[in-house]
Amino acid sequence: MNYIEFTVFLLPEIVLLVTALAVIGIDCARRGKAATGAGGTLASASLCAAGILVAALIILIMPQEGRIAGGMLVLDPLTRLFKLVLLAMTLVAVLMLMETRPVRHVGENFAVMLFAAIGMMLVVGTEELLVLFIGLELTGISLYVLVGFARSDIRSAEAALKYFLFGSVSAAFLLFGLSLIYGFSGSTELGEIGVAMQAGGMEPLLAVGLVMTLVGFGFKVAAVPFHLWAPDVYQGAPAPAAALVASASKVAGFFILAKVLLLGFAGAEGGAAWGGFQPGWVPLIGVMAALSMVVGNLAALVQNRVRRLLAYSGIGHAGFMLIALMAATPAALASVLFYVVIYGLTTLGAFGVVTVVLRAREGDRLSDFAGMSRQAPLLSFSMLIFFVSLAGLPPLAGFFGKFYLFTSAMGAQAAPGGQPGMLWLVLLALVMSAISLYYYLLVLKQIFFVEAAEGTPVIRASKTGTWTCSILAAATIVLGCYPGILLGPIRLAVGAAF
Amino acid sequence: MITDAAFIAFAVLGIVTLGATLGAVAMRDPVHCGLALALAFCGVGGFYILLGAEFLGFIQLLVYVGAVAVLIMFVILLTRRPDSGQDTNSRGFWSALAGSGVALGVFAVLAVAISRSPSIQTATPADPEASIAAIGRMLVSSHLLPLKMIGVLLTVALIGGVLGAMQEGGKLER
Repeated sequence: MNYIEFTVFLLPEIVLLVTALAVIGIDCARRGKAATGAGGTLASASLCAAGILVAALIILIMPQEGRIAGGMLVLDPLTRLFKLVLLAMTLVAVLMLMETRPVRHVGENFAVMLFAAIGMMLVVGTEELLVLFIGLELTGISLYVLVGFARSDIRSAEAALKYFLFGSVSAAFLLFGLSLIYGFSGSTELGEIGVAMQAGGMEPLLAVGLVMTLVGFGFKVAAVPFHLWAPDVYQGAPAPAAALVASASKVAGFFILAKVLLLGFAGAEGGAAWGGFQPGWVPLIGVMAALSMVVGNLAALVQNRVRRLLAYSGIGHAGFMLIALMAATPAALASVLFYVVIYGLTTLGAFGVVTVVLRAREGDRLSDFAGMSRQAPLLSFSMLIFFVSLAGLPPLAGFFGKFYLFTSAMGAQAAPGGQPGMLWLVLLALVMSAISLYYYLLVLKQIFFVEAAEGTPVIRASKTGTWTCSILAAATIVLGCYPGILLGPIRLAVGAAF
Repeated sequence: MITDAAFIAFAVLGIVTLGATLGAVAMRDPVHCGLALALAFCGVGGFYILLGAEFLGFIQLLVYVGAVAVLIMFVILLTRRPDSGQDTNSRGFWSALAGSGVALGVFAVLAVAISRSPSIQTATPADPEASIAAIGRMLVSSHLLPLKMIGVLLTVALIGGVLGAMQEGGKLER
């Protein structure tokens, strides 16, 4: 064990950790003065932003690559790219937190956000079950704290409690499943587990382990039937916390789920082709994908609050991504990772707009968005971009994301007759994505075509809010016109890693 | 090898642990629940010792029984309000039935899976060397990262716990 090498590999995380502690320290030092004032928020936010940028810079210029401590730390182009993506998303959440109404203990709020980022970066950069589990727990506990931060709001407390209870039970399932898999394979390293699975073949106890592991991950990515926490958390949590849960934590969840499935469970795929069923993890994911798409998109139709709508649509999007994971090929993995980044960016932007509306109108009912296009044209246009991209219309990034997802799913799992075996799932996904357009348009109709009622407060966006949302919208357009900018590096990195 | 004495010890420990955990969720008085939980922790520690992991067993007793359970008792005693002493833990009959049904179902699946899995029937590997010194060396060499991560995790949990215990005004809740 070389401690120097270890430190160098962990340098971005260490920078974030030191920043988080410094933010808390500054907050403590300011306690005597008005700790809740705008000055405290600005100081904490700029320190956090600086820490995140330094960490990102280190990742960019660090020459080291490789895996140390038996796969506990893996640095390759893929993990680097996703650490950068996570840092970018955390940065947006930090900026959003600056925009919300000042709460007490704002320094701790920023610090816990950085702790969540550390957890997610460690999860992304590992191929070992122990680090994976502790990283997921670190992320989880930080997010529970963030979700419950608005102490004066009873909904925030309710959301935090629900998230915590669901999270602890699912963590128990995950740990039970991982320990069964460890018992079966004799290793905690994903590559060795994959080798053992290919040699050993399916047996009942391993099947139980697979199911329990997938229950744990199903909670992390909010797939049906483990989604029950999502609407309440999105609704009750402070908007920046909800945005972090919806974007970065989902990116990390899907990344590590894909890695566990493709590396660790290689050889235990089974089959979910129409008429070609075989036991393994693919049929399990197939059930979760189909249920998520149907429940998520249909439930979103009847929502009256935009954050709940985003939660249910997020469940639907998780279903789309699970379909491509079933293909279990590097090409499909690249399309999933591309999609989850696009989804994270657009959701983050949508939450940014919701933050501004919440601050102005104290609510996120559909009617609270009425007349927004007159008062905040740039934000309204950004929201249009985000929602049209989420619905998957060309030429925005969401369209290409869905296109790659579905084509890679079509190419896999040939059915007995030679037809694409997952045609049934892809058809279901196409129908559901058409349905999703309807509820996104409901919100856009309020923004652009309904006049604000007399006496509703005017929506005024701050410069930071407008800039952040506009940049995210611009990224959605650019990635739609030139998807290769992101997809190219992802494909290269996936090709190098698998 | 499982000898008769070990089997009897296993059976006694199993009954005690199961009974204690049942008591921890089913008893009405939170103080009794806490005590039952402490007994359950003892039972789990006994299992570890029985399986040859003496160090883990003693740590389990020391940390869980000596610290965690005592802390739980303190919290229960300090936060209990006089008027709400007895009415916790009263749930409907149907939810109890549903819960037991799910638990029995999970148990049945696990039992069937364990009894039918060929890899369980093979000989158990030799006990790894698990001396305290070896565990300590592992914690600062091959398992350094998980150790550090748990440190960060506990820090976050501590911050979250303090924030959760604070009132809106910034004072600690009594």
